[in-house]
Amino acid sequence: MVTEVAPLQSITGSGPWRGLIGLTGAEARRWLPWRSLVLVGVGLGVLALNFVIWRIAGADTEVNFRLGSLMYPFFTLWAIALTLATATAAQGAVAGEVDEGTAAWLMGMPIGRPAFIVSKVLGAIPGVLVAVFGAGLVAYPVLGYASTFQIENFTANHVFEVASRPIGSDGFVDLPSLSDYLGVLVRMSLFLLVLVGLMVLLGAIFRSTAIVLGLGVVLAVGLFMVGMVDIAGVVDVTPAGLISGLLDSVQAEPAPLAGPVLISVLWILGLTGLAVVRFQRREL
Amino acid sequence: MAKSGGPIIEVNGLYKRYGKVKALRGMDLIVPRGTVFGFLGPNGAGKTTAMKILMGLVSPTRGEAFLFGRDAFHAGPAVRSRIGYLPQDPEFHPDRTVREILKFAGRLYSGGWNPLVLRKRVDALIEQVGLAGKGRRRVRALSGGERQRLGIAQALIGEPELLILDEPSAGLDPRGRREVIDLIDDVRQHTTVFYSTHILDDVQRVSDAVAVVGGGRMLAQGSIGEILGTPVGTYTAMLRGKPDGLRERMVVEPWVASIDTAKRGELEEWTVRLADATAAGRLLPLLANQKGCDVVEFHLSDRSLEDAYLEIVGGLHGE
Repeated sequence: MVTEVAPLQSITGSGPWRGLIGLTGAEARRWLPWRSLVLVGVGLGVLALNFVIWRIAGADTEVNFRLGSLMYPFFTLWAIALTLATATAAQGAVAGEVDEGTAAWLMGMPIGRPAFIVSKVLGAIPGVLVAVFGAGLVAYPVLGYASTFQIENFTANHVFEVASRPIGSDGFVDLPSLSDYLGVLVRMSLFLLVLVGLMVLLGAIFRSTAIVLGLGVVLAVGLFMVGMVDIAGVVDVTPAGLISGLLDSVQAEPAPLAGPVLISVLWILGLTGLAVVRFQRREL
Repeated sequence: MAKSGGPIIEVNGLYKRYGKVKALRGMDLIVPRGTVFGFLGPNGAGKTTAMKILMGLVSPTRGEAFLFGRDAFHAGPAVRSRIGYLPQDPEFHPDRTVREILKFAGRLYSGGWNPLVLRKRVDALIEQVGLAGKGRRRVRALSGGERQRLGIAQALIGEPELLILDEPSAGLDPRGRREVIDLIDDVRQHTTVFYSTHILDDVQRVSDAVAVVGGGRMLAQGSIGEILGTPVGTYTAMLRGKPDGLRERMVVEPWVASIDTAKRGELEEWTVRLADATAAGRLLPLLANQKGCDVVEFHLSDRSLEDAYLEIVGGLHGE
């Protein structure tokens, strides 16, 4: 019954980070492609919804005048939708694995517990980037073209004429420059990664995915609202600054990027670090 | 605290409490290297909890547990790389295939792995555990028994020095059970196997030693022979006729510990347990000289592991 097989090479590296690469790859495959495509679909759905709202409101209404462009309502709706969708996607990252018993299987192998936690955040990065940049890069030209004509004047010639203008040229009404726009997408991605870190921490604390999702959504939406209202002091030291700067930037009022990015990276590291500490003592 | 040499598993005074439930109450256990060691006990005896503590999945409330001489809960990946573990009711990522699960596990065990070697190892294990032709099947599509086989395969992928199997035969049909026992038999030359089960025939067939636990404590531990007890103290006699007064005459003898009788057709089966094994020579003459009956058969009693197990755990009822 025994089959003769060449021996495997002996194990090397046995510290707390053992298994990080394999686990990160596995986690990335849980996001890509389907979970990320769903999130891209959420973005495109919001884009479609945005047109409906714009059509109902009318191009010359006070609403559109105040918003300055189609960017603001799109990004507000999109950020809220992506926050909820990402929270749902990330709820089971740790809590789900513990609850289903796959974490016990994994931790029975030569894997460091810190590696398990960190892989949950690292593995989400490609998926989040695809979700944000996938829909965001489609939205930029679409919103730009749409801003230049009224739906009543919609003709094939007009669309062709607008489409032939280079992105970022004067023909694009109230659009941020492409570099500013990419900054907006970076902010959005980082905000979602903070949310993933938060869900991972909650998963390291609570066993129930429902509690993790509920608390995660409440905290994330709270952070989002703080950013929208732009509460001075709070936005400077929390990831809410990402949202505040994001909404400024889409109204062609570019906000500094470096500070909020640094703060948010520190938050991601802090949340992940706390999750590592908590998970070390977690019974599986 | 690290120890070198000695047993492969050592557990001293292990306590584990889940809220008000005391899962372990001072368990001691020693598993020597190179043995196939059966871990027996009724449901709720603390077997799974003890195994989880050994694997570092659960922390003990009190006490010590050592694997390869190192503290089990803080041993980390270095020690786990030498262990293959099958949890009770193993769960794997449902969207992955059998082959993906084994390759994933193999990479974790093998360090600087060679893809060709790993592929051959995966192929061999898939065949060895009876999953041939199912390598591309997703976990969610596997039956309970197939999932158990996959669990055994992933436990073996790293060619471990120690296999810890929590009820490896659970969910398997008789053929699957037999294959698991054969598999344990196959790896025993280079692997210590510590496994829990309720199937005592299998244990008796393949194990060198067993431990019987109950109520979170160790009740008995030793080689199969030691657990069965030396049978020189228990004899069975088949008598034909009416042995009037025999029982009364025997129970007063100080070297007789107990007497059980049962009707077997026209014969009467007498099971006599001696308090003093050296008194065996006095038993047969006593029976043979009994008037009114003949001794048709007389032999040392055979005792199965099940008999010994039930005797050992019998005292737990009502705890």
